[in-house]
Amino acid sequence: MSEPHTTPHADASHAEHAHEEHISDKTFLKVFVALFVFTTFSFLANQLFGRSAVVLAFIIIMGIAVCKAALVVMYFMHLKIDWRKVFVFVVPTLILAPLIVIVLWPDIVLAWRLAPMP
Amino acid sequence: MTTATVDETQYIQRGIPVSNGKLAMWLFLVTEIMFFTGLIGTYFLLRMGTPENAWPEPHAVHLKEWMGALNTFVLIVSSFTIVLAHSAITRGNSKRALQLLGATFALGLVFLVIKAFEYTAKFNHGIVPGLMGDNLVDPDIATTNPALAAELKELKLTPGVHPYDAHGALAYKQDVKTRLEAIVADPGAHHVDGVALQTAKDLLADINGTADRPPILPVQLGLKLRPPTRQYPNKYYADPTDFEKNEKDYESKIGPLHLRPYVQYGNLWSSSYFAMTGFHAVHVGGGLIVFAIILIHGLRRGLPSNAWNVSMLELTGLYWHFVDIVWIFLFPLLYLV
Repeated sequence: MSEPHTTPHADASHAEHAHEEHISDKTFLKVFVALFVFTTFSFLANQLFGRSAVVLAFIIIMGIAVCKAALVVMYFMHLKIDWRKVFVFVVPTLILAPLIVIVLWPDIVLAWRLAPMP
Repeated sequence: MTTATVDETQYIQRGIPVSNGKLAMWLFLVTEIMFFTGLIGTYFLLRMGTPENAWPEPHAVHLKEWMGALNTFVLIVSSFTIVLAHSAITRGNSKRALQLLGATFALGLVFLVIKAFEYTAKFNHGIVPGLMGDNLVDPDIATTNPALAAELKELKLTPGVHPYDAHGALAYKQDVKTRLEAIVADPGAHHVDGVALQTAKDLLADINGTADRPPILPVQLGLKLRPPTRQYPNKYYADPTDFEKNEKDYESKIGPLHLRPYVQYGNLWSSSYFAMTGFHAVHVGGGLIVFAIILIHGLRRGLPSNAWNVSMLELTGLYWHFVDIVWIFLFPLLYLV
């Protein structure tokens, strides 16, 4: 392994080329263990209070899912280093994606609650 | 003129400073994000649009949370192995890269095998889009049969809240009747005997009606064919609250008959489930095909640590991580919450 980084905070201004910054295998291992632990937490949260405290379980479980996705995106997909290069594609997507749901919300979700069934 | 005279230090890079391959892969991935947003967003909307507590709970549709969790672990480990494979090949360790790539491929196969088990269990229990008993509660029941309406209310099947399909309800009853008649006519061919056969005969008697009671309504038939749940005790069992016993009862008496189960919003659920996990499985399969091609090439002619191979492992790794992220969201949305 070339110079092992103890922390993944590679400073872009010190590297001449992007390939100089890299995430070490040790960091990958830490991220993997974190993902494993998060998955176990969310499964346990569901088993223990998934039925009794539904809203709390939803918040915790979806929060954990977002954290796991963020870890995979930033470290495994290398976006922690590449973000400034590819954000121009990803940002419009991240805006459009919730927009689909928001745009259809009144017709598919709210309409059934506002109008009484025949 | 010759290129030696070009002063390259003054060449300005106008494009985005990533390789063509990486640019293409990220563009593709954002389109895939939109694709899965369509599927997952629709599921989310449909689920939010159903009345409270009416969405099928996991047990009613034979969803086993531990299988989903196991699949999540499998994909997370495979993401880890592919990223290590890329890391190995950048350091020139081709052999290790191939081993890790092989491990990723194997784990992807394990994921698909577990999925196949899940799908088979669903088909065996009649959880198929469009073929489940659904919308059987006639709003008129509130006036024609108040006792039944009260019973249904306890099960959150309030007449008039859920859409009713008269034609579909009768078709459901007729379908079940046809199947039961086939079973009773030739039990051996359908591998039905003992308790299950007796249940089939009893159900047929209920459907046709006897001298002292009229034919049962589609919703009453549906309630008899309803899988037991922890949430709502089913009065058709001797002890409505003994879930484990009721489940064994169901599996031995009604399971072997392979009838269409009655799950309110079951068709909506199964359409969403199979669309999301089906497309996800196809994406996993596509990734596995690419991994297989690289593996075969690498095993035959080696995987030297040149720019092409490093890039290949990086880009296929990006795709594989995306597939992992989609599952990271699918698992809680379908199995947990």
